[in-house]
Amino acid sequence: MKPTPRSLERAVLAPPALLPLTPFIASVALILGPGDAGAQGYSADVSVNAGNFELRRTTRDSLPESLVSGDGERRELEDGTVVTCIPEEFCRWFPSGAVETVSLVTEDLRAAFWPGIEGLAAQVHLRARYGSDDFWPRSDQELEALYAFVSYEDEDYRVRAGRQQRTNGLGYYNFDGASFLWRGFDRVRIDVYGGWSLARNLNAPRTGSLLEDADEFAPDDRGLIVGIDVQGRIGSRATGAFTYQREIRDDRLGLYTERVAGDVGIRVSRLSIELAADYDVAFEEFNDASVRVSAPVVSGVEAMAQLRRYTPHFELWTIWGAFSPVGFDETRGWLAWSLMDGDVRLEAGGAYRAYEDTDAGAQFVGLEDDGWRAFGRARWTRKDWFVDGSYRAEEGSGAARYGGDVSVGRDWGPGRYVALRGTSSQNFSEFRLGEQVTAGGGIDGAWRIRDFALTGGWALYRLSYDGQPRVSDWNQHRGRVGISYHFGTEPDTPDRIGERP
Amino acid sequence: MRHRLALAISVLAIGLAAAVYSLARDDGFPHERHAGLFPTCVGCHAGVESGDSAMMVSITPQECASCHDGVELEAVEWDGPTPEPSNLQFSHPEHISEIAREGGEPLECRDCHGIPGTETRMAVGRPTPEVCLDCHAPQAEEHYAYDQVRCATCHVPLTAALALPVSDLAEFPQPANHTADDFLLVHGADAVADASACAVCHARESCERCHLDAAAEPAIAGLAADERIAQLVGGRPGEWPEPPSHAREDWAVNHEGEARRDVTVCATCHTRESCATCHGEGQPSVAARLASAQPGEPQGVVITAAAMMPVGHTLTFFDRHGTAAAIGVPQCSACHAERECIACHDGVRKPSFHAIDFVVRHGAEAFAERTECAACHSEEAFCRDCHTTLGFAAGGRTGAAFHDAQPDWLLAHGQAARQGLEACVACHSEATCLRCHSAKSGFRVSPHGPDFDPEHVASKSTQSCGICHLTLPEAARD
Repeated sequence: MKPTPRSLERAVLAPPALLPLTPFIASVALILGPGDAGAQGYSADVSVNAGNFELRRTTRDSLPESLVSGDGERRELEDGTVVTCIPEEFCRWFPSGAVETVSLVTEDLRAAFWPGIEGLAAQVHLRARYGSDDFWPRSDQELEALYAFVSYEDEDYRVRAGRQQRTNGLGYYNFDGASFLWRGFDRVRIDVYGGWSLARNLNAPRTGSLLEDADEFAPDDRGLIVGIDVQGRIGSRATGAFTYQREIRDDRLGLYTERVAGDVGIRVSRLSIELAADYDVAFEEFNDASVRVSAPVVSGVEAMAQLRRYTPHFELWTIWGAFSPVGFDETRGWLAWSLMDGDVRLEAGGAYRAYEDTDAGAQFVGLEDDGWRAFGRARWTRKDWFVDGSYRAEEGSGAARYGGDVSVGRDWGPGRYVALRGTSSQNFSEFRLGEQVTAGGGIDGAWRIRDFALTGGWALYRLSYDGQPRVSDWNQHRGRVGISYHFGTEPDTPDRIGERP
Repeated sequence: MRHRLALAISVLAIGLAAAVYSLARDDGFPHERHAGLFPTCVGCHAGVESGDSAMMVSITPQECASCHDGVELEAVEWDGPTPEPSNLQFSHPEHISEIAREGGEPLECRDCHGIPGTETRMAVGRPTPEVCLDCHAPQAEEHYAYDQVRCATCHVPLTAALALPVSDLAEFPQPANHTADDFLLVHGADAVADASACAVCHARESCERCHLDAAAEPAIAGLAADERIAQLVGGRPGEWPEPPSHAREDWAVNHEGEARRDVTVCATCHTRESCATCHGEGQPSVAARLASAQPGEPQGVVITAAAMMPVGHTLTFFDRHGTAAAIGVPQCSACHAERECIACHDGVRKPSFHAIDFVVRHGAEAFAERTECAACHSEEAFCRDCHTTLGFAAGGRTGAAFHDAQPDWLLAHGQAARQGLEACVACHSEATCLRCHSAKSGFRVSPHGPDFDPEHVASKSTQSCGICHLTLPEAARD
């Protein structure tokens, strides 16, 4: 695995990356043009983060079927390794490979510019990756523009053009286009948006190489997105929000997604009640729906209960939605207790989920069709010091895990801390033999010196296996280090919570 | 016309300069005109070297009238200098003895009283502050260079200068550092280090105008109260500039920790009501350590942007906000900028979002969808990419080789897939399943469940239909 460093400069010049930057480049030209220099400004930070860690792949091994004793498809080698045999061909299994070292470096540039015209601004966030790009996901994606847009804000409205990040009830959906936010009404905000959609969580077109490399049936056409967000306050004790979003193929031959999300929060005396749902119009089913009630029980104690229904969402360019995935219904409870004037905080909770009938499989196989989890946590803080311990148990369809974490550290304020961490856990898979036990610890910290922020961490784990004779125990090192530098004035953030008029 | 204007401006400038010069010289007595009459200073200012008053004058009006008799010389009415109220503290004898103790050359009166730029013995007047600074703060660039000059060296506290009227206090000049943009944010350190400097111009009421916790601040409580200052600041609203920390992108989510670390910092500007605006009845316990706003008293920072504050942001909301966001609470962006989310959720910039050994533990969490992985990660280009590299992804023949804990995997996998299809997609591409589940080839096993509505799906998109089917459903053909 040979690292293949690429410079940010080269990456920036990559032609596909320039398209979303067009509005940003135009805004910079505008900013640098004649204007009232006194009101111009900029704010930026650059950061470099590097990680280095060890891993071990799962490999394949086999023997001629004639050399393995026993009958049938499933047999055991002398050391207990379970193998799968194909008559008159071979028997195979999956031992562990050699320990390898992987490195990854990312460079980020985030900047905001104000040209001196009140309300006008441009913002950009670029990320470049390089390192062991034959291993780490997306490290061969040389440059990513997380956002790059020009915006104009007035008291009642905001217009944005360029690559934008959209976070709403449907999750993250970024796009290249324009949005118009109207906040001139007293209690309602309306945000309409549209443009070319991007592959979800990739900041790249659906037709880009990232999906193409990952899927044989990747989309062959770009998508167009239109949507509307409406958010508002209902009376003095309730808030609500509604989102409708539709993504269609550029050639208009079909949809990629069509979804609706809505939620309402109501406060009744000491009760907070939240109703939330997102609905897939294409498959006519709720992907997520929940009712949550929380309230302070007595002073310093708060309780929460939730009913939730979850069904996975798949876009229409894949075949997965047609495989009729089923959802689960979940009940959750949670209790938090703050005592000793807030120095000690205790939490405990649990959840139980039950899957719908799948109409598939055989009764005698006996796969899990429900799951539960429970957790407890205690945290003590005093001045700069903190101690945190937690334990979590989880069992259900697919996997199970039991484990705890402990942290001891000192926190000197924003961006300045040192912590020692320890962890131990058992992990099981419902579909794979064996048990994995992880135990280890490390140290991590951060320190801010004027406009520089340094972060770093190192950890060592012992990974042990039981029930998989040809998967050997090993030690894993993980390390990371990062530095960022901020310069310029702080960006204007008129929407920030706590902003004074 | 232009010449006349220039002439007028010149005359005005000269007149102003002359007025300033004369003011600087004027102590009520024309010393220079009497230079030949009085050979020594102490002739008139007898006892100044041993006495305690700089204004000591031993000559009487009658002695003036002996020359200014209205015959030989014009009659004058001069009855000695009029004492002006001041907050200066000065002693001639102490200065003289101090210099003698240090072995310095004895001071001449002109050394301090001489008017700069003059040579005449009697060209004297009141010393300017710069004369004091020559010795007391020789590096000081100006009288009000606060960080170089100790005010209390020459000045008594305001509360001791009782003769100064309110009108004089209102005209006190500001030291240069007081005009800096961030002065209100940083002045506390100076006040703690040297409260006596503040006391020269300020009384407790000066601080109480803004400091909601004035009584608990030793530097403020140590200042005396003064009715004149109370009169001056009465009715003026407090000023609470926003500290740089509040502009940090993680401030909205991290400020409780800051408050718990040292709530006295918050207490300067905030009352309990500041917290209640957003946190309501379920406000954190640290809020109880703040004072409550009282009628008629400064109210501190009034937070109003929380008009859109959603319900449910109670005591424990931060710890469960991930679930809230993941299950679809879209109004977050009404108050929070996107970068606030990214500040914490960006796995590159803040790797601590996932626990340190998350890679080895994430299986169970992913199956349970405790937080929705797909909210941040592409299942195809992130999850599957990594799993493929690690050797988990399917390849070659179908069978139970990898899923070795399930001997009857082919019979079981249907249920497993429908229950956890997102987990399957994290390793398997569509081609794996199409070996059996395509209508075009293979075993032609239908993957559709009993409630699947092909016409409806086809009416939305035929792209995925065409992957498995040679012909499209009825609705699609229309």
